[in-house]
Amino acid sequence: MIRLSWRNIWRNHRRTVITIASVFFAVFLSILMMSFSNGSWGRMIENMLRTQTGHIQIHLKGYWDDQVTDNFMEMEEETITRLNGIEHVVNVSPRIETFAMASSDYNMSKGIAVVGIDPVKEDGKSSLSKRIVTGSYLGPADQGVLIGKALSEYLKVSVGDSLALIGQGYHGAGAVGLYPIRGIVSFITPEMDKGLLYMSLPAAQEFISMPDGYSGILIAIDDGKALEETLQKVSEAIDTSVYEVLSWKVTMKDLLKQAESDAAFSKIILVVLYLIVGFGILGTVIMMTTERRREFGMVVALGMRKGRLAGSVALELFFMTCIGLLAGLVVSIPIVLFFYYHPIPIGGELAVAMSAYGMEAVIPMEASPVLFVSQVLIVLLITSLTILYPVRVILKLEVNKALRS
Amino acid sequence: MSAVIETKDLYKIYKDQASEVHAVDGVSLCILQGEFTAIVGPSGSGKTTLLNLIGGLDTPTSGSLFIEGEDISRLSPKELIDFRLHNIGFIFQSYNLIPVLTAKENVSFIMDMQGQKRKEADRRSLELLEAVGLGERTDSRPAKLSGGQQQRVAVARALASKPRFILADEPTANLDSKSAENLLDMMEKLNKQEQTTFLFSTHDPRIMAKARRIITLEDGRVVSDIVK
Repeated sequence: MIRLSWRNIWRNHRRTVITIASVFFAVFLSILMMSFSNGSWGRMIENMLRTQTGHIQIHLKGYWDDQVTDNFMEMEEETITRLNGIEHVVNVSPRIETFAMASSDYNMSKGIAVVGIDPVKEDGKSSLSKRIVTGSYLGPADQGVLIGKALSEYLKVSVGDSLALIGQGYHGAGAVGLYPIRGIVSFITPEMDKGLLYMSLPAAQEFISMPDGYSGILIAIDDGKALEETLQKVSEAIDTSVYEVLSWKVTMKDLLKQAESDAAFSKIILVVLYLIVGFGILGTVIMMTTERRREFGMVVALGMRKGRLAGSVALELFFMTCIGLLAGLVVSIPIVLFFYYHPIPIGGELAVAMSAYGMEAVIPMEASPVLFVSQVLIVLLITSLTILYPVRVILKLEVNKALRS
Repeated sequence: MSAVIETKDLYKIYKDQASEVHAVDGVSLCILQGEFTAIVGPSGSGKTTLLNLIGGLDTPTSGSLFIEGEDISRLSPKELIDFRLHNIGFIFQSYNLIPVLTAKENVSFIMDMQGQKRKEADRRSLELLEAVGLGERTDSRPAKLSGGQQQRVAVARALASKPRFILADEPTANLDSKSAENLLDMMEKLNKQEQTTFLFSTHDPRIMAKARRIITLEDGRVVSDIVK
């Protein structure tokens, strides 16, 4: 039966080549597309988490649902040191995020986000100092601030001028202070450029009248796949009756949704591709079945059971599918691996901006075995569905009619 | 001689909304072991339908059909396929060889389906091809053989399963006269030497000349049955 099936696939070279090519392009294009989509989104998310928000955040229990100053936390230095020692953790950054009204000498004022950072750790994480366009970066306990370029233009201030900040302190205390501008920063997004202010963590703690307080602790890890495992270890390292431990999938829901909607769009395109390929294969299968109807009748007349004949025809399609799958994998795997190890570089202003944020300006491809296996299984499923047509025709075959066809 | 094929009041009626066609209309006949019989008659007389019924390729509307005493009209479709494989050899008008198999493989195909050992099937295939005069063309595919040679392979294939009888539907219709003569001589020889039962459906006067019994059908009925 194997010999018969193998030879049958070569009886019409053109049809066989079309079928194999359909399978090949389905595997090749779907792997490349998914690898590119997953790779670019994966890198973008990883960049964002590593340089900005962290993969894991620790807050006082209830802070995430009610982000007010009264829900700020305190944590012993010993516990923070312990968090630093957890496997895969590369950066633990306590920070303060609050809001204030900023006013300048020119009677200009604006509501802004105030972020208290450890200047050294933040620079190591997001290369903030590289984005200074005028002035200097913050010292460890600096009492000055950094503001966005657009905000400085709005408030008509420059390096050396002072900003008055008025906000809400801890437990109802007023938060008021006058802060000299140390540097002007260029941010990649207009929202950040016109509404963000950085100050050192001690200065921010003083501003909100909470000397050891933080709004949260941001933890970056070296391997996104170790998220769940690290999340577990972080939870074990702290008192979870006091603190909440959230993964980026909770804190960055919007980004996750955007990635998921992009992935969904890619999947729609893939489904269209699968349909085109599936109907292409089905077309050749229908043609083959129609052409060989008489032959099917003849072998059943001679004594071949219909089930065995259907198996033989299914084997033909299986052989063609396997050849197409193998060819698709042989061509796509080296390409994916090449761009995984040598990601596509991004040029122009975006590359400059990404570098300034400490991000690598490249689009890598994902090279996960799951990606290859899933695409192979989907294409196998599609061809299996097309096999149903000749199988049905054979099982319903009326021998005498088929012989006359 | 024992009866190989026996039909009793065999009917095949095709119905549609407007009319009813009696393709086989109450045929009762008996074919004995070793006969060389031709079923003749004008087009539409029911020859091929009768042959299809006897070969288990179609089911009768009513009547009985016994092959060596077994009523095959009672067999399920699956049982009928197995019955054909082990008991009936077919020779079709248009050869119907499997194009991707060589002459030898086409012959051993039947034995493979019967579950015979490959070595034994190969040996018998070569023997049969030798017997039909194609010992030199065993590895040729059908496309490389002439019509006459293909029909000889079909005869070898029909004999491969050691059937109780061979049904040949217009076996010479697509052959030139020399090939037809050669084929008929060969089948006649097999019939005489091996006592293989042949039942032909034909218009060909050459077959009628060689047949030792001629059954004439008209409108699905046997109108004459002459034993020479």
